[in-house]
Amino acid sequence: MAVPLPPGLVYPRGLRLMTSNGNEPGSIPYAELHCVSNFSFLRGASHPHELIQQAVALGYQALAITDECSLAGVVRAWQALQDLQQETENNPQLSEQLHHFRLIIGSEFYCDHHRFVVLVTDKAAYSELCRLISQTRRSADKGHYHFDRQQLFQLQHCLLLWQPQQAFYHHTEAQDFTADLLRHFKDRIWLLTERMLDADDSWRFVTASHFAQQWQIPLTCAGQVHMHIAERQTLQDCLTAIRHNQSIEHCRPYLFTNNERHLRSWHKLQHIYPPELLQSTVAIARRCEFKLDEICYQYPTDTLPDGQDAARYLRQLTEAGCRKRFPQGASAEILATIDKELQLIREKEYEHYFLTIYDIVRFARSQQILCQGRGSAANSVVCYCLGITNVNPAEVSLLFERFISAERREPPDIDVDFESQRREEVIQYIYQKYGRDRAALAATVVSYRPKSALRDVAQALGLDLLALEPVLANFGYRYKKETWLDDLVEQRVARGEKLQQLQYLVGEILRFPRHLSQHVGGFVIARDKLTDLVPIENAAMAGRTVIQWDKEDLETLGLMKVDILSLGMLSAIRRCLQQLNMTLADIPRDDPATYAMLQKADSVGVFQVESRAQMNMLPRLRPENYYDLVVQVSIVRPGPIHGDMVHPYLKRRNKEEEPDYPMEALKPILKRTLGIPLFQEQVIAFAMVAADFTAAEADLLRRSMASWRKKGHMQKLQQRLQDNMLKNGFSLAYIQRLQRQLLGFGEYGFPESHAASFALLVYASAWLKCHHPAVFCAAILNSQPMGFYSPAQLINDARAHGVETLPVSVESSQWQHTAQTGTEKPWLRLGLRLIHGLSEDSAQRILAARQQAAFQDINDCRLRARLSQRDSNRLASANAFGALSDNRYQARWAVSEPLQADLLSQALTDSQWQNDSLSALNTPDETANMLEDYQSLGLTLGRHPMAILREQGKLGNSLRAVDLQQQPHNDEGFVCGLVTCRQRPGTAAGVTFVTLEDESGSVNLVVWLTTAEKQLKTLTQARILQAYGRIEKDSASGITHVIAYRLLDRSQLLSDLHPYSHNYH
Amino acid sequence: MTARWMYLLFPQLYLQQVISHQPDPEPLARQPVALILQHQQRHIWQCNRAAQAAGVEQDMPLNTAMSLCPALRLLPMDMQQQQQILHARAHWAGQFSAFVSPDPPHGLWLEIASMLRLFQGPDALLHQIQQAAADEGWPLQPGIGQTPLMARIRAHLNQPFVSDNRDLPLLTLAQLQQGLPLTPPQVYQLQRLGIQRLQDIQRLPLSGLASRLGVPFSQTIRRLLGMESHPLEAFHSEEMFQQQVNFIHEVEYSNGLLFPLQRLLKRLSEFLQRRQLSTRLLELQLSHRQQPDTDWQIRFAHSEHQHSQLVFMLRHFLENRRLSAPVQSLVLRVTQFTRRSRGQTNLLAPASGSYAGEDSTQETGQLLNRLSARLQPQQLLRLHTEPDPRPEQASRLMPHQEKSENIGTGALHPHTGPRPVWLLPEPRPCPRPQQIIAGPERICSGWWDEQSIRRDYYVCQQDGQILWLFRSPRGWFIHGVFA
Amino acid sequence: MPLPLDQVIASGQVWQGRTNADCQPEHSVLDTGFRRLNEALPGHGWQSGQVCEIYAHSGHGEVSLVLPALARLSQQPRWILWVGSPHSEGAKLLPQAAALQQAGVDIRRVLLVHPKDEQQAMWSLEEGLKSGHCSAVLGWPGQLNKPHIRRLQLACSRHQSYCWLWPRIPFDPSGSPAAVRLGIERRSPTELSVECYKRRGLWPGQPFTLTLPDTASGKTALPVHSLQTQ
Repeated sequence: MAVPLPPGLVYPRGLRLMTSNGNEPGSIPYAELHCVSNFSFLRGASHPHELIQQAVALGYQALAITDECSLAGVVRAWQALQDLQQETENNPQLSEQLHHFRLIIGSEFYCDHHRFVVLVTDKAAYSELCRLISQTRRSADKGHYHFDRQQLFQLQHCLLLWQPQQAFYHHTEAQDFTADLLRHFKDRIWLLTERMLDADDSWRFVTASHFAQQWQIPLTCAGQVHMHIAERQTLQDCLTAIRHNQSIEHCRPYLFTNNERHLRSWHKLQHIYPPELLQSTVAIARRCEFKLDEICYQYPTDTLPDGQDAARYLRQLTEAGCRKRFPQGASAEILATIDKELQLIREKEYEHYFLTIYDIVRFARSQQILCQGRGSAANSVVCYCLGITNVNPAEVSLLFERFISAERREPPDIDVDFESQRREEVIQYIYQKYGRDRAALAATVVSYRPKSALRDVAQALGLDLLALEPVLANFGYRYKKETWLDDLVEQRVARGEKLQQLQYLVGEILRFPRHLSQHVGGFVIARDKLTDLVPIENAAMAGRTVIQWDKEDLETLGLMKVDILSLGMLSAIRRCLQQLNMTLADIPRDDPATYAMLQKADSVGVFQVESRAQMNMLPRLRPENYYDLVVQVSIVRPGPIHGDMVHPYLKRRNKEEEPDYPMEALKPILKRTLGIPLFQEQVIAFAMVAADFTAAEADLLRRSMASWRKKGHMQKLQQRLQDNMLKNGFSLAYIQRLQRQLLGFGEYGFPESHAASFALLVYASAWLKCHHPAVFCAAILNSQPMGFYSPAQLINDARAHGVETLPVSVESSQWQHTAQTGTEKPWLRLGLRLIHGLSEDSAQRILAARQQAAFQDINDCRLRARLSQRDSNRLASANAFGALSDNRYQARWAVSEPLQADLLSQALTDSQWQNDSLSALNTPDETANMLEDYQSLGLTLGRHPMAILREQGKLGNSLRAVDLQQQPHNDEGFVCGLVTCRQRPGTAAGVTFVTLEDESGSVNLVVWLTTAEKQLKTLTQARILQAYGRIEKDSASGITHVIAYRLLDRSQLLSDLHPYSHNYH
Repeated sequence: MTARWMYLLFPQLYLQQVISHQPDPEPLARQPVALILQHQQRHIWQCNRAAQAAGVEQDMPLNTAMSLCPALRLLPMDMQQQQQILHARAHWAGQFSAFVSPDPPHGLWLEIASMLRLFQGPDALLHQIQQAAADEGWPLQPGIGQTPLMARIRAHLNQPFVSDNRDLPLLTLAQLQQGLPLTPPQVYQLQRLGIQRLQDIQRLPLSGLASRLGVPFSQTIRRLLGMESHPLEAFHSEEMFQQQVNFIHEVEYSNGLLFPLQRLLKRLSEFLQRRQLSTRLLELQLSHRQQPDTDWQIRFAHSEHQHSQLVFMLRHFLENRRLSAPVQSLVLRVTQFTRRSRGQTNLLAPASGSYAGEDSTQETGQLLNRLSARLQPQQLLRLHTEPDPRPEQASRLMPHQEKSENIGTGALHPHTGPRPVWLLPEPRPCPRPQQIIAGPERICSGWWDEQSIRRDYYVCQQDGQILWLFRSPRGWFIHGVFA
Repeated sequence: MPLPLDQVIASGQVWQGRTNADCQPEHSVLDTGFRRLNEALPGHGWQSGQVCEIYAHSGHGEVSLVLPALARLSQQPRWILWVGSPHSEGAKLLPQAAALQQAGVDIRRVLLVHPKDEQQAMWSLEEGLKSGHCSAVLGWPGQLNKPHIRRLQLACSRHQSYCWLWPRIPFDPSGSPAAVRLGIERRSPTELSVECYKRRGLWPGQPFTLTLPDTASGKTALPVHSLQTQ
């Protein structure tokens, strides 16, 4: 009975399905020993799972995945084998046979006259191969490896398949190299022949047989497999063309002349190779017993003081932390949880994991680097006591099972955020403490996305790339519907057969790995040599090394990973606290003024809740306490929005509807969110309770939710979820809403613990903004680039909160922005860093010169601070010389005279002749000053451009932002302002939100899709925009929108004005 | 204001010319079209009115332009062709002024002071030029001024003729930037100094300006105001050979033309010899009484200059040509020339026949010319190889006339098996071979150009002959003979 | 007074039966690439200035015989003119560039003429030889007459060129002005039997056999046991 091919395997349309002519797995006496997957980038034309599934379907005994100097694909192959076994559970006889099918780990190496295939027999051999690959990869730069024949003699356990090229046989030193190989490898070496049925194929076969006889080396055969089915030849040729960066026409010499390099059927193998060779492959396969799950990972024990028992040391630290966290004593329930957690940690031997993380966080705190753990770790009370996370278990229902569950083999996964400016110090600390061969970054596999696939395939097919530009520019563009490939490629790019080839190949190449790059901050740390577990290679960035597996592989094999991530807001908060010499804990909890401020949507600069969509939600949700913030952070996300859980929650929040629970058992889970599942944990708990999922299935649901597109197991799980819930009496509509929510959670799944950690920072930044606006604004400005708003908007918002802003000046500004609080009127002095293009060391020289003596005039400043011509020009145009000159034009004229330091010129510059030319210059009026400000600083402290234009009567009867409040609902009128933000969130059906800023505040413009498409240029290009529309006031939230009917581009009123606009992200 | 200089600005010179040369210019002219530079593909260089209407502007990023106007067609910009077009316009403008100076990329200077009396004043001259340009269908923006730069500004501002220059000092910086060769850094510096109009510049000391904005800037201002002369480089066109013969009584038969043509060819051969040139194309223009002129083009495989060879070619050419009507007069014109390297005739060449040195291809060219004069183009062939896995594409016979540069040995595909000397034009079906000597060589490729093949090649022996057969899904075929 | 005999012989005006080594010394000799053939031919190789006729059915290694010589000639900056070709069941056979290149011939020197009739073929052959721009001229004439051959022989000798003809008509024993006339028959994939019907300066010799290089007969692709792919 043929093995049913798993649903995940999709055959391209219109191609002969490679029937598996009825062999049970392992029924034919052949093992494929030389096969590359698409992790030999741009060579292999099949995914590892495709190769495994096809090898099983053909009845092979074993398949060796031997990518070129890489083990990047072996984990996915192993995972595919596990999935196959799981799918054939219901058929014991089949799954038992499948159990015999063996995945062999190996790698191929090339050097001048030879091709070597190294196969792994046992754990020792595996470590040997990892070391060899790491050695060859790290001695060459990214993407290459440096392999020398002598390195083979390091292999004591691995098997070697040796294929010398024709030129070797009559090479001078052939004799002694062969003798050395045989002496070293003895019975672990075979001569490899591969029949590709091309030109000199039989000649190679004959010479190899003679050579083998002459030297008494056993002979074996393999298929040099590049693709799992022959039909993949078109894709393999295309990959070859891309590899050579040419069209297929031009790189014909590099193409394979036929498609023999695929997994061949038994019928074909019998005709090509003599029986004894086929038998030898099975003998070799039987000697390779190594399985990937034999990798046993030990956590580093460096952090354990010697002589201490890990569990006892951990308990000690936890109790100490507990006393610190709960000065008045922890509740019984919390103590019970701690014991439960420590017991589970002991059972799973995860102590060293916690101690390692603790050590990293302890180091960061010792260096005053602000950091905070988040992710699933935030569910653990032990982490809270160890100071890794700051989520108080009393306030948030912590599902410790979500962090570590008894049955799952899943290792814990802790993400720790550090200040963006100082994260590198933490990374170098880890490298220095554990050493380069025990700590490395996880990889991320960069694979083909639609645009890159289309461009590369079009070039390979020799299409006119110029004609392709419109297609690429419009692909998925905000105003075009996101349709897939078929109607994407118009006739202009290609016609007839070429168009079909393009569509087929792009469809095939999507999600093919392109190259390995470095994970943002995922570190892997091992007790002893990491290179025994996984090969390490150089990352693109200097000083960084990367393992060949990505996050998913690590999860599959249960290796420990800790994410060292960076967060700009942490730097800003640390700068505020430093100036106010407070600590994060000193911030009073549940301050009513802060919550009042947030409820008014006055959240510019506040962490996570400053975007337009969040500002719209704040007045409707009206957060009053910490848990409301946890909901606020996670509610404006695709998950809840797609599952339309937002409106029901708001109704129950505003007491318009009573909370009800679909099942009594769900009450404890959904109590906090009034019966509506908002968080990922709740949806999983829902599946376990409402759809009788076992813990393993629920975890598979969680894992496939995160990457449901990749393997496509979701359909099967969703079907079972639906059936079970129908059985339990849920309405189909409710189930579908839950499923949409599952889809929404896809990549943006927001666990509650994650939102809880973020909510702490939301509150801290909101409190600082409410009570110390000046210091807060300075801190944010000094941590740029970060957040949602430009310096101009942040400063305007600070001034709206009564902060006096002082201009940039060489006499009183520092490099950073400085702020003073506590005085009756808080002030903010703009720093020299605001001047575009001014270098920091020029600024430091100015400060140093200023310390010695105040500046008499401009030239004194230029000379003593050794300013370059460019820096002087920039300071002059930014009017930073202030009192030293009448106006910026004269300052610019004075400084742009090349500076001669000799005495003669000194006399000349002070002469009368110099001064009368100054009078010839114009004096800048208010508009000119405003324009020069924007030009050099990106903002102005003078009157707002709109105020000037309105005063000059150039804005007609446009209403001011503040006037909109008085206008009646549904009234129509003009509004006009600087465009500061354009947003088109995927969730809103094609609507664009535009923010227009004028002297009195901001106008929220709503532009429907039809209006946008008709006036596309004005909408996207206008810097000063005037709109005629209907005013819409939402009484519940008090927010006012203007629905735009007609848009007018008024940019030419101030043609030189180019304000910053935050567009489309 | 004595009008001494005229500036002719041809807006979108290249784009307008390229579109007009397309097979069907009308629809393309209405369609939005844009030009992009070869080396700088991410920005629009020039676009026509239809594109501007859709919102596309110069220097706009390509992606933005595409999203604003999805139907935009992109054409690559060819600087060389642009220069040729400008030279052609300079050639055309030669009829209005003795001194013409091209101002790339799309302008011309004409010295008109000397022409005023001939054309009765600047207005009349202006009108005549505008009329001539309109006839050619070229959009034109002329400008007249005292100095070349002033004329250039008038042209860019589309004010052809302004009697006095009172408006000059009030020209804004933007207008100056259009007409004068100012660099962006200079304009930026002027803006930062608060200078808005020309009068602001005139008020400042020129030495101060020179030290702050560079000497070229002050030189430009002085040239604009006529305080300094503005040297311009004159334009002169290339050479051409043209001779005419008028017949007393008309010639009915083409051979009749041979005798007069021989004399013309003699003069042509002397013309070529003096300039060390040779040519591959003769243009014959025959004028008749009623019918429009007939134009014959005689093209050689190899460039030629010797009189005897030219006559031989001509005789063969005339043999199979019929005159459509009696010829009244005949013009022989030669415009395309190729420089001839002075190959030293090797005095010591062996007596019988000279081993024509590799470089003097003219000699071996003679045989080609003689053969191609008698044989049809597809009868004279060359061999050509390509690195294609498929035999038919790997070895090809190309007519000699298709003298593509890469005729010759593109290396074969590295994995090419032994190939027979002879190939059948078309593979011929044949019965299953009895005695296979060697094989299979499996070739399965070529999917990308719709001629994909899937064949197993074998070498077989059949009654003494060694044959090259292949088996494909459709059966056995014979394809070649090992001779 | 009559000249002494040896003086006359020294001046080379007397042809002696047995001394064939040094006739027309100024004509160059080209190594055929086959030892046995060199010995059989006058002057130990192909003589320039002589027409050579080769009689054989197509596919009997008749072209491989001259390929080594053509490879050497293609180093000269002159054309190798290839006029017409043999026929196989009505279809005109075409030379395959890949095979010539594999035999070492520089195909940039090869110029092909597809004559529409015999008369045009003869004109092309003559034109090529007379122009002096051809190092070798090859032809597959459908009919031969003596004046034609004589004119080719004359043109050939004036410009140090070589001329090989593969007549598509059976061997005419009544003689021909061509200097050398050979008959070829294939014994086995790599064995040819060659018979010299006529060679100027020597008596016609016995047929002898010579072996071809492997590539000439596709021999290198050794048989694979009982291969029937599906």
